[in-house]
Amino acid sequence: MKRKGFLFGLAVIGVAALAAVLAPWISPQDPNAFDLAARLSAARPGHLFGFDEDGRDLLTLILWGARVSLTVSILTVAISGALGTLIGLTAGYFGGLCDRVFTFVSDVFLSFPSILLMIALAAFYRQGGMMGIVVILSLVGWVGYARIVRGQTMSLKERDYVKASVAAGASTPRIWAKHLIPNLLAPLLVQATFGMAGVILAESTLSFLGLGVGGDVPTWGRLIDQGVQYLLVAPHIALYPGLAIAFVILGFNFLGDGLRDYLDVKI
Amino acid sequence: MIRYLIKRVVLLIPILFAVSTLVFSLIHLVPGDPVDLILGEQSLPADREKMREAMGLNKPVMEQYKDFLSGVVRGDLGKSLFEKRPVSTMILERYPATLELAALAMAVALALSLSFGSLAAVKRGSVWDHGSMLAGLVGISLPGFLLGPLLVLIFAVKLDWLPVAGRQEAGSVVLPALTLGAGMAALLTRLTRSTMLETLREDYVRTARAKGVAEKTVILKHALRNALNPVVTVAGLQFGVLLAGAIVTEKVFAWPGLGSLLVQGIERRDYPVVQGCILCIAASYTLVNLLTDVLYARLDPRIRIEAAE
Repeated sequence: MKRKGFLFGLAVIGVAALAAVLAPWISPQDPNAFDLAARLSAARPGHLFGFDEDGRDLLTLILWGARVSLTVSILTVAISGALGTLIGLTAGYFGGLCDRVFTFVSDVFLSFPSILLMIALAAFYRQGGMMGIVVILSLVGWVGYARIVRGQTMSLKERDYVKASVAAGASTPRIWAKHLIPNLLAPLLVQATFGMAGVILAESTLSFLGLGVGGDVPTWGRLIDQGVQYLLVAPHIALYPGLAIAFVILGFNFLGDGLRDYLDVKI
Repeated sequence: MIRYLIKRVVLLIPILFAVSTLVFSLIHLVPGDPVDLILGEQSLPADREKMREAMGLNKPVMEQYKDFLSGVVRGDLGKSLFEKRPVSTMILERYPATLELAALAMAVALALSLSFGSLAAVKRGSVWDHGSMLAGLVGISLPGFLLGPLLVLIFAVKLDWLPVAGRQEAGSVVLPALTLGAGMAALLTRLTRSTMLETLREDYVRTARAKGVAEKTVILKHALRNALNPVVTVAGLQFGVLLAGAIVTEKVFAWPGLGSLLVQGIERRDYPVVQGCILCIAASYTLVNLLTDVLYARLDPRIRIEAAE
């Protein structure tokens, strides 16, 4: 069951990544091409998912939306993971005041439900485009990585080989690079896989609430927002992008579950 | 217990203070003039000045901060730029609807998770177990803005059993509560299963079985009752998450709660309303977490002793 789930996750993410990369070549239509006569109409030959309320091909918009979702999630996971690792390592390794400040700051961050903090930041900083969304999601997302890294670092620094390295006079960057970071990679990889699912959901939620990537960029969340308004006459507009989001999130969750078991990580 | 309570409340004060500061800072950390955000850069100088005065932005920042904090303490969250009414009144009008939705969603989540989680643990390795776990993973992966429309299409459009949206008609809370509770149910089902599996291995369960107690009694009275503590605690801690999650559900179902007030505030660029809603949801979340911790400590003396140490 777990192995099947892992392979399913891998397949889904593979298909989504390919769709995102190849969108300009495999899309049936230009994402900005309108056919007003076809607006809201359902699937027909050559247009598998039908049309949106502006008469744009829905499959094309979903393929281009995959580019936005995956780009935002890869960048966010990379930035928040790096930031969280650095902060978690500093707090866990040095302890004392560093750790107390970190604990207070992370408590403040955690006293906001993460979705609320994202909405709050996005409501006030709307002009940033895709990078703005990445910055907002990274500002909220680093805490999860930092807490894992801090906990692991506190346990790792008590191991004999780390103590021996300190006693032998090794510098802090050397200890981090040689002993701590290699041992943090497995839990970070698992957290990042689940993190991808979280970021895709967060980005779609912001887009659904009208706070996502601005301009005419097609995003899955925005398509659903528009689709909900036409739910009774053209349910396909909300349904297909929604299924795309659900499959990709499910894929990352299966992948994370499989990796967690394979790498024997407890997070 | 009183010492524990005092300690937790004292710890809460700096957190609430920091949350208020963060909410205050939101509008002041915007690059450029905050008035541009509300009126747009092309607005007339006279209108801009009027807006600056209405929002108190013409005062020095420290004075604005002092006014904001003293307002928060007195329950004065400013006036809506659009409706010209006190934000606190608007929040109070909407808060009961959100509480109703979150409470029912939690009831849905607990009912589903306790039944399916226990069943999965008792019939470990069976189709029930795999089915529950798969449903849990799917539930976590299904965003509210997909599940909500799906439920509307099936139960409101196709079967015509329930209303599509709003809060006026009888039964209108059912679909929003199911939508909001599904994700939580998925999380709690996995937790119920794992705690039940642990409890079923305990000596007292083995003893009860050896004494010949009926299996139903062993599961319901001995195992489930003891497995409930961590599940109820996590459910309590997640109640605040439901309050925030309600923002999306309320938008899908046009449910007139705090979430839709926040979305309306964002759409109208009515920033005092946005700030007020965010502060209210964050404060509720923190207070619910405190209440859960205190209740858990009351139920389990080990927590109080650990905290005292």
